[in-house]
Amino acid sequence: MERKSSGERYNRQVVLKQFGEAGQDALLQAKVLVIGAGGLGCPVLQYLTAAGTGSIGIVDDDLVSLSNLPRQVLYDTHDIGKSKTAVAAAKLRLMNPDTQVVEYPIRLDKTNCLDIISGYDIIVDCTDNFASRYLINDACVIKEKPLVYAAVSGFQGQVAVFNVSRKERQWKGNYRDLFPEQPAPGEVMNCAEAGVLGVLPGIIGSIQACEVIKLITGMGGSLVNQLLTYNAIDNQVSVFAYSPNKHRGAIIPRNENDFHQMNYEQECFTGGALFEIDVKTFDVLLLQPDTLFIDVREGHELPLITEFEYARIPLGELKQKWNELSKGTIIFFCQSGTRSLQAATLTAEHFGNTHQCYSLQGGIVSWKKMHEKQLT
Amino acid sequence: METKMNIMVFGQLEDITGSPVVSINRVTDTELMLKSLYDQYPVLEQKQFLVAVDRKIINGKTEIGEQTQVALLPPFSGG
Repeated sequence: MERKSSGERYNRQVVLKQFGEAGQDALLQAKVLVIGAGGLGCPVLQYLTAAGTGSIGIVDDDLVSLSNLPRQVLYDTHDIGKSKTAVAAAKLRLMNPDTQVVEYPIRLDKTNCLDIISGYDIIVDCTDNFASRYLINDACVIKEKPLVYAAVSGFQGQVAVFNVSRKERQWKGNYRDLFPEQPAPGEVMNCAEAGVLGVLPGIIGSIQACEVIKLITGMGGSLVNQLLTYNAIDNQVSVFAYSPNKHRGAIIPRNENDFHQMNYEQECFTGGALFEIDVKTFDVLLLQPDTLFIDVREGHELPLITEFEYARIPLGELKQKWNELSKGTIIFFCQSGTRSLQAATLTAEHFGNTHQCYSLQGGIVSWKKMHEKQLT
Repeated sequence: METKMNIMVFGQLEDITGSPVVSINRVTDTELMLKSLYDQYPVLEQKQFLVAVDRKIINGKTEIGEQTQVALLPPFSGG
């Protein structure tokens, strides 16, 4: 039987001296787990499949939605409402029958993460939230799995390769050497809140796919113990070197038992639901006198609200402005409801029973959507 | 000697500083630089970010020379 690596399909990469048939053979035998089939996941999945990666696992519990389409280029308008893993897997199988595609239409958590990553050679973090990123990082440290990380925000992206040493027995950096502690919920805006240029995750995901291929085939230098940043606005690419964080030993779970004691899903505030109100309740409260509405988004964020009166206090400035919160009932809102929930929690903690604090669930995006529906 | 120094600011930190490049009075080390930045932008003190000096991410007080490039790198979560 003819070796797949010597056939026509992979000819253009096999003719590369550094890649060759050996590189293709390595790729055809590699097992790669891609976590998140969104903006970063789509280009990673497409290029790894096209290049002839032997086995690819796709983890994502999400459904395709309209606002995904400008950047999640595996999906089209007819796919809205369908499972991302199912749609992605079907398209990838058509793209290259040499690649075995395994679907995991689930959310990774402490109970399933270690088992799933055990079956793969390289893990690719294409997720969109810190809870998943720290979960995956720690699981990969414990299982000693190479982790190719990327993240985007606005016009910028970051890429790094973790748990791989430059030389044998040298130290292996991971995400906690860069950012030891998981940021507080709402501290950093996600794509829904901060926005992202559609093509940006395409660029960053392609760099990520290239790092995976280099790791598998042993070509070139990987982003080991380095953080690459890219800025689409001025085309600046920078590579920063980092060293082991002094506290890494104390923060990273040392074994599977420690791992199961971690609290990654701190995004869910204890009692958070107590503070959340839906759009209908929000509208009822708009008619109540003595109710203070506060937009905790940054000054430049759109859409601007003109339909009702409110104050603007960006979340980061809230603690300096307690004296502006004089009224008994305060309704916080932001873009998607994450930062406003944190604002409501902080304010309730600060004032105790003297202030009733609420957060608009789903943010101003949900509010606008509901009112647009009513107009049409 | 230049009296001002420039600091490159990445990601959402730009929302706080209002610009990707921040200019402060020249200082001789990163601790003095952070103090000056926090005076100018108090919200920055609540944010997590890395400090890079000449493309090396630093873990403690580091000297800043006249030609030194300094950058502040926050974590990104988007994907």
